[in-house]
Amino acid sequence: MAALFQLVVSGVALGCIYALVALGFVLIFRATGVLNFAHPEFLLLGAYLILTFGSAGLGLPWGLALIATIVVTALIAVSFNAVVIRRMMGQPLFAIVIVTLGFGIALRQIISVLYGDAPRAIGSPWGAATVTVGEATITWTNLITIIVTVLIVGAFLAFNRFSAYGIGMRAAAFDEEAAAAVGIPNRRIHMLAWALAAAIAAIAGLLLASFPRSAVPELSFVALRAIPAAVLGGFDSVAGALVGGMLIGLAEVSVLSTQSGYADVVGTNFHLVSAYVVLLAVLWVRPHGLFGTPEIERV
Amino acid sequence: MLRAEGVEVVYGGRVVGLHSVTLELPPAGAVALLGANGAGKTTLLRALSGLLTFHDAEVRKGQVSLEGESLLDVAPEQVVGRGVVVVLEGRRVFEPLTVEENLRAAMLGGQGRAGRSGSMDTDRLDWVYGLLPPLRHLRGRRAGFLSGGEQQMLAIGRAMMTRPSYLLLDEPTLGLAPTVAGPLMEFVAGLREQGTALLVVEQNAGTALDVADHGYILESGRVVMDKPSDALRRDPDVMEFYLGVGEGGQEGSLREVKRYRRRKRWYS
Repeated sequence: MAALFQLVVSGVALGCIYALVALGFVLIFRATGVLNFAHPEFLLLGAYLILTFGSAGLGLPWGLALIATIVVTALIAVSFNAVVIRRMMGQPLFAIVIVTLGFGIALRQIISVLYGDAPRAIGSPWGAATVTVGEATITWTNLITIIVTVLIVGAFLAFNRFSAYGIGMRAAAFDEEAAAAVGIPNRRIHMLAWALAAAIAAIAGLLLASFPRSAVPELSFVALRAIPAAVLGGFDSVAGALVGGMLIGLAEVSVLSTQSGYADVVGTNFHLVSAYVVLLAVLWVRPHGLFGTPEIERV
Repeated sequence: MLRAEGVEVVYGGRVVGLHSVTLELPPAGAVALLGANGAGKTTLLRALSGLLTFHDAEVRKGQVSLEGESLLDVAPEQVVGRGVVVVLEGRRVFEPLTVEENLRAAMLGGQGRAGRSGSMDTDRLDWVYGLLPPLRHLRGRRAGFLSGGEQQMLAIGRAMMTRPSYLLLDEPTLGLAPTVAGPLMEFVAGLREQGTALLVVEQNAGTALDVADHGYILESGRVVMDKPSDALRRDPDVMEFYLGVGEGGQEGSLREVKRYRRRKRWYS
């Protein structure tokens, strides 16, 4: 029982990270029609910039270092949008997507040159602490991941539903010309989408690099598994991204814990592809994802 | 005064959509813009509202100005901020959003932006609900589920949220039953009393001339006639080709209609 509980908690925590990453993919896709392949590198920025700002670098207090990390990541994303993506609007979507891919590779290389490839502990204040619930042991990282995700998602949903810019963002996502025709500032909406997506990615990166994991360049590949989460949800649906992320997190953790019994059939790394198995199964039945709009034709 | 002067619009760098079109919409005035499919009516509205960029088109010659200041190279949302707003053809409501969200979305732009204060926002909503009372009862409904007439009313309400001085309507009665179109145009005529100038684009000439005091007729990208509404109504060619009324005020018989299938062209 305790083992199952532990399993569910770590599955949900991983699902939360996937959900945050998928939310970022969906935000940028809905606002600009671009699938941003540089998004995994925004997670890396979150995990590594904290090394620069935090105790290992400039020595800012944790809170300040956190804010600086989020702000700088968002600024990098916004500048990328302003300098490159905005100028490419109107070009074939394929070209823009490839440019994001290139930007992602460049970012990853720069990070790897600046910080090295060795795993580095990011020194989150809760460290390796755990809590014991009954017989189950749960890491603070997992608990904090779940709490932070709930807060971020709640705040985002409220923003999306009630704030002027949230409503404007949904309006522009549906019909950009009609939005411009009633004065919705599309450029500012795009900027906001990039900033929000990158800020959320930075937080997800921090959580992903916390104990028992550490900051390694390979974290960006973990983030790539959030693409199935977004696709699973339908890619243009915020709720879909959250549900998709959760499903894939749970699937991955349950495969991870049971695959040793079937090692002669599936091998020992089957959990890494479980996301794609779930994705195939869902798309077989629902080609537009769980919550996607059937009419969507971009990408 | 919203003014287009000698405007030539080119699509994709080579296809000419408008040839030297001049049109004036005086403050608080009402102007009808008539013409057949492909005459360039929508293109002219795009030129006036800065939306040509969405269609790979540009004003190559001439000038578009508002109160004497050029509107060329002004971003669409800034054109709205200066008080010129267009209701696009085909309604184009934000379907996944509710009626009230559609209206609130338009609050991000427009004249005398409400900014952060909540009370101003409610004031503006109430003002639009006052202008178009049926919307108040639909406020919680998803826009995509409204009828055509309701959607058109929402599209007009959404544009009015920006407190425009000049409202440009592209085919507001397109695809609507006459029983729906009639009352809708009465609401539109009522907007004039708020001091909003109207430019009504229509294929249904009678409807547009009822609202307007001046009319322009556009054909193949050129203004071919430009007269007060009353004079247009009495013009025999307009009666035949746009109002569908034969000589002597009688509706032409089917046999006669057939004879007029050829397109009348004034400029040839």
